Amino acid sequence: METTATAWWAPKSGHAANEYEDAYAVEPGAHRYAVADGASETSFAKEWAELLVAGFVQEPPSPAVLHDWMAPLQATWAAGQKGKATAWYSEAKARDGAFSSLLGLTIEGDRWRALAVGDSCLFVLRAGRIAHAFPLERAEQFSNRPVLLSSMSRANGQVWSQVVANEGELQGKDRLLLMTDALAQWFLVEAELGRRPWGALARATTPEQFTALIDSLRAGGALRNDDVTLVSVEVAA
Amino acid sequence: MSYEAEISRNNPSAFLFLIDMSGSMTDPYGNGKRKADGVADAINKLLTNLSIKCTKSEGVRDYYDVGVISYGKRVEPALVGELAGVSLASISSVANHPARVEERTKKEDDGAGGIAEVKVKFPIWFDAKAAGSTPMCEALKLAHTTVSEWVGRHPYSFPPIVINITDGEATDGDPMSDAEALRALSTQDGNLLLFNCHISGTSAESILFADHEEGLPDQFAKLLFNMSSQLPEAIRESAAREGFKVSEKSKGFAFNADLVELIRFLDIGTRPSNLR
Repeated sequence: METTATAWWAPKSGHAANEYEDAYAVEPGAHRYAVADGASETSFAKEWAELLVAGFVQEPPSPAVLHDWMAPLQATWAAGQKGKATAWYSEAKARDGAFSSLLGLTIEGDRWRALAVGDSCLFVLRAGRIAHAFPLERAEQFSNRPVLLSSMSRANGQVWSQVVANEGELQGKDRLLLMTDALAQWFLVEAELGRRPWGALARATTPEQFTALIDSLRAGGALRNDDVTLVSVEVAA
Repeated sequence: MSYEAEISRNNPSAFLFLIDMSGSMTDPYGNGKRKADGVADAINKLLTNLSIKCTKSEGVRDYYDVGVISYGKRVEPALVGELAGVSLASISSVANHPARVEERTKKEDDGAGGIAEVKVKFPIWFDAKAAGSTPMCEALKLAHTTVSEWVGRHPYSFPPIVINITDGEATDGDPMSDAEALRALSTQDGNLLLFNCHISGTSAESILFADHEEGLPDQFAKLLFNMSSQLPEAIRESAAREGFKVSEKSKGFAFNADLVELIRFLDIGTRPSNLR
């Protein structure tokens, strides 16, 4: 199926653009898309999130091979840290590793397939409603302690049982939205209240409009202050 | 709602530790260590953890101001080295100015079913030097002076947290009214939080976040319990998620408990549940 994709992002309020620690990758030719959310309490999380999304669109893993698929990415992350950590606290932080969520989407023919670890979410919109929400389905399922992929193998012991995958049929005019957690939580709250949050997102057609929307949602207290990423994939009629 | 302010570089919060360094702190406790050495280790560990918590790729972000006041022979700011005499320092200057850095070995899961021994740096800011009486009232008054100036400069911040660590009885009067005056300090986000840690030589079971005074081993523990702030909802929920027994009446009071636990509940963002 023919698709077009757009990506939007905004750093946490009070933070500079270079402090944004989400990442996304879009490979429209191969119909592969990914978002990741580097955990704010870990350092070099942005670099780790970027490795994960770039790795996904290059070679999407199945849950079964995720462990081996990540090994070269972990090695790249570790090589990137070499020589950077000179202060005692940077050394200690680097030893803890970086952590990130990962949500990847592939479209093949008339089917979509998704893989997720953590709380970045996919919403499949069809005929004015949410046809699928993955991996979280209700706003109350968000916490600030998700299990995330670590750049350090030793921290991933409890991850493997929490890798989830899903797939489904795709129809003409479907819209698929990939979001990091704060925006996804807002989206689900709004949907649970019977509103149509995808309308507001679709009306933002320039980066300035997207930023203005995010600012107003934050100012009104509807959106938690966090990095925000949205990848929107539209299927042709 | 209170205790909801986001802790950020624009609106940092503050930790002030009050450390009993009276003569009785040279007594041994639980594991045979001197109480004063156990507390010094815990404070150094807390400052280490807090520094690491605030470390990002580019360095340490100033999410907190931190101070240590010791009370015993004298009541005074107790950080040593370049920060000597400073009552509240930004966490980045704390991280960058330990008095010295020791090396210790730590056992770590190697992720392949084995245990690896790794060398870690252990910075020291605070040394045990126990002598004299227990002027807790005076320490609470100095804390009041230090923090009242801070809340004046940070009206929108998450309220400061004062953690008092002692083995018991104040020798300069009843500390209750000084504790109340301290707890009355506030930002627009709520009142100052006063937590008390009682280090006792008795072998009674350790308690974290007690919710009633019955069963506490002595009158000092009960007094410290009553001086302590009730846990705000966010900290209570966070503690409950970690598996601690807490109720709506739980206070920031610990008896012979691991002090490092106290600080794990203060979040500054997403913390992976598989990060320990």
